[in-house]
Amino acid sequence: MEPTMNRRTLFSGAIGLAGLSLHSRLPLAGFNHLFASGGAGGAGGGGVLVLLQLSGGNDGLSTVIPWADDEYARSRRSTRFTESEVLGVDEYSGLHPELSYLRDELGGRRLAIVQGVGYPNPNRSHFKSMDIWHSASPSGRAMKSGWIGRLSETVFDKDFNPERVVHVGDSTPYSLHSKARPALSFAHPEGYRWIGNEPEMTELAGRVDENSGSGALGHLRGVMRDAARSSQRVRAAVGDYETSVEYPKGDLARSLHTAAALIKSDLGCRVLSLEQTGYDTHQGQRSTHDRLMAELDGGLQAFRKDLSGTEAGQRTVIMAFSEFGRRIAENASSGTDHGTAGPMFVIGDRVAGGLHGEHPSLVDRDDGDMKFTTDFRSVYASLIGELFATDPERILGARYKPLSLFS
Amino acid sequence: MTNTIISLNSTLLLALGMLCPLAQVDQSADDAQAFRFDARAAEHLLNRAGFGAQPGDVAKLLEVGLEAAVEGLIEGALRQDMPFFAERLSLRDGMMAAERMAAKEEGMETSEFRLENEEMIKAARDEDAEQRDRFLTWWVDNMQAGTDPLGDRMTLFWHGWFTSSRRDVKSSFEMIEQNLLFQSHAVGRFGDLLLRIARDPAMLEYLDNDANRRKHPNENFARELMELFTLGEGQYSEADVKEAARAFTGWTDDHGSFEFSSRRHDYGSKTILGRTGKFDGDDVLEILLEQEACARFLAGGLIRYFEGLDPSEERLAQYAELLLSNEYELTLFLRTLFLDPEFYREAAVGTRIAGPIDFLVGSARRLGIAPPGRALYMGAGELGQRLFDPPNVRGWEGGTAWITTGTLMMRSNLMGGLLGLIDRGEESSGGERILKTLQRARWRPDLNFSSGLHRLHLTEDAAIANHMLDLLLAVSPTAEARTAVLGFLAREREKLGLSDGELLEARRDAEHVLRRLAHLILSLPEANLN
Repeated sequence: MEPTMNRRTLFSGAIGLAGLSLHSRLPLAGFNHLFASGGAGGAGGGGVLVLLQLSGGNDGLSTVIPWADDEYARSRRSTRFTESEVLGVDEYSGLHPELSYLRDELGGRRLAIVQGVGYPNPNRSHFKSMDIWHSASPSGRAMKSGWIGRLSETVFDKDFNPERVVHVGDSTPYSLHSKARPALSFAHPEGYRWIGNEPEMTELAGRVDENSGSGALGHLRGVMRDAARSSQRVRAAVGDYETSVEYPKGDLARSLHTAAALIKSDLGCRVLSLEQTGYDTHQGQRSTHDRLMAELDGGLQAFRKDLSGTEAGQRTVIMAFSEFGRRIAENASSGTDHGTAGPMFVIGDRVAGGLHGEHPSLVDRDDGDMKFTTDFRSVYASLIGELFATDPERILGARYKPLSLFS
Repeated sequence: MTNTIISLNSTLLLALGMLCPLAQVDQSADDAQAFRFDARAAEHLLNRAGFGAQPGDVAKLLEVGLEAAVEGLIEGALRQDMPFFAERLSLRDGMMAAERMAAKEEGMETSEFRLENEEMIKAARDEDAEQRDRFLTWWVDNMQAGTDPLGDRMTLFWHGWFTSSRRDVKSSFEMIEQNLLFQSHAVGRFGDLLLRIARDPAMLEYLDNDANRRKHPNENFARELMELFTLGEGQYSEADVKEAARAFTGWTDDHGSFEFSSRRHDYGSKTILGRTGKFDGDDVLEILLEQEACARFLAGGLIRYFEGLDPSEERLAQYAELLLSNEYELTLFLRTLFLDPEFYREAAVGTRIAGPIDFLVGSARRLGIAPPGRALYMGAGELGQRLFDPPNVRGWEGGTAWITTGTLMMRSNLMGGLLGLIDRGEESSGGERILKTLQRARWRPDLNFSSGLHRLHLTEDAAIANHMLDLLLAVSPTAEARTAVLGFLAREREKLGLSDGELLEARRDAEHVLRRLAHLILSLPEANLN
């Protein structure tokens, strides 16, 4: 009978493969230098954040797979992966077999996997949990703006243009919601224009100068002027964009391609928001989830390759997250139901790669689910400090211990 | 055009409780302070109390005069017509019951049940979505038809005041019932509506009061009740919220019907806003209505909604007093507001940014077309106003928040689609869906600008431009707008090789130019004001 392998055993013993760093707590003082010097380069930090939302609740246990854990083996059947199937990470876990590119990034120390991310009093409703992630608050949408909205209002207060925060996709996530600093949102850049009367409207807009007037009419005229300029800029950036990198097919890859074009342009985009849907795998999980992993890996590979070697690429950090993980035990339909904690991926040239945080115990459960070990707002705090040279407390409303995600 | 000088009768004087120059009714046209109910004022009333004027509406209103017009609006809102009948026990409810039974009796897991009954579950969801779609189409069609403008307007107001969202309330029946509650109490007594909304299943679910019980109180409803529905921020304490939550324990719903659970109710003594007693929910509501803060909050909210501007302290106090002293009677409030010369002041006319529903429905009415309500409510959703799905419990922020670079251009594109000027394939994905809807409904706009202009003997550029601007804008056009429109018209006419005055001779080509002119006008910044 082999000894029960779990995370705690590993921690107390020697740690496995080279190239992995363990979670260590940076004292808060360690961040102060960032505020003083301006962070990762440029005004307001200069960093670019790519938020990739895996909607539906990604099964963390099938993403960062604790193959060595007996409880995992006991709890999963059709969704179970064995040691030989996973892409090895250490003596305890491995990555989903389709995540070969991400495995490379992990090896190259540019992928940080934050384990057991969640929040207290987990909510298993899609909408409510997503709202909590988006508002960075248990009160969800009672907050008047999303966390990125607040970030935008703070960092781009004086220095705003319509392309600072862009959502590429259909429905704009609440995280971007802000009255004062609205995000730009489109599914296809070609639709972001006047159709049927573009010449006339462009000409009219061209006649509005920086002083568009006061009151409601003044605001409308100003937005008309901005719309003409913005629409032209965005379509030029994306339309003229040429890359030797071949992106795979599918919506995710397409939106990543658009994001790359925007980042490499001089539009000054600082937050890109994207979404990959389909993770709510209550039944027949294996085939769906495998496909999603492949799409995710292929898309991110193309995206990173596209940005590699560029100045903008160096400042870009991707954060992939989901509104919750899924239950430890598989259900009766070869799927899993809503759970709690799960892993987050943070990818970038400046990222301190490796496993961060603590893998939750699969035995010490919270109502059948994993107990979170890292609050998601700690990850937010790390990103806010590093990329935007801003005190995270201003945005998040409270202090969260940032993680040492950046070297 | 007749000008009517409004006369304030003595009851109103008492209600307003103020001495103003108009109190002494002065029939002299020279009285600089006399308020003239002219075309601009009439249009303003129709834009705010309803969803805009169809061709001919303004003239009709001027004929009957302001007082009669206002009475007409109120009477329309008070009339209870045949409502929409929503199915209660939809397939969905049946499925949920079956699911629970399977779990209980066979120990079947939810996921297993769902896998086995996948088709039926999908059918249940589709049926629910279809009922919701039918209702929203019906509601927006009513707004377009304009038989009860004030009722429809107030229903929209209440939908954004006592918010609930279909994200949390997964039953179309419940969302519809809530909306019908707003319709039936649109201009009644606020207190009556408040008592009923506190029992509304959609509201109870949305704000988690269905889970509020003595042993585990849930404060969500009590908090929003005070902060957003009655008193406003800063007018109560955290302790008040806690105690009020206790009073509402046991107020829950069972399959879309209000149910009071005595077992879950906290019968103990509570202290709320300085009053102590064994209060239940109704008692709390009565206490809230007694507060001056409640009257002020509602009065301010209504004035801000209808005028698009914050009221002065003096005016706010007067209107709050009107509510407090008249049991929050809304017909009196609205009548007073719509007869108030201040309502028609320069700063308030034509200066409000139209929300998506206002923009789409208003533009359709001004054009004299009637697109399928579905196209309009979907369009409004693309523009940030998804009916039955407000962004958060505060409802829609409105004002400048409606206008971003993206939504401004999309408004223009949606109008282009409704005018039949945009083909599918050109539009963005959002607009695509709406164009698809129009196509499926085989709907085309029934427009003939040329014949209208012919009848009025308007053939020259300037006359045509002025007519079209007056017709299609809810507000007076700016000089800039006139210049742009004239320029467009002249250019297009010249392309057809015609001189000024000859445009209408080009028949089909002229009609096409006029349609594009309409599109241009509805894309102007001014087109978003009402």
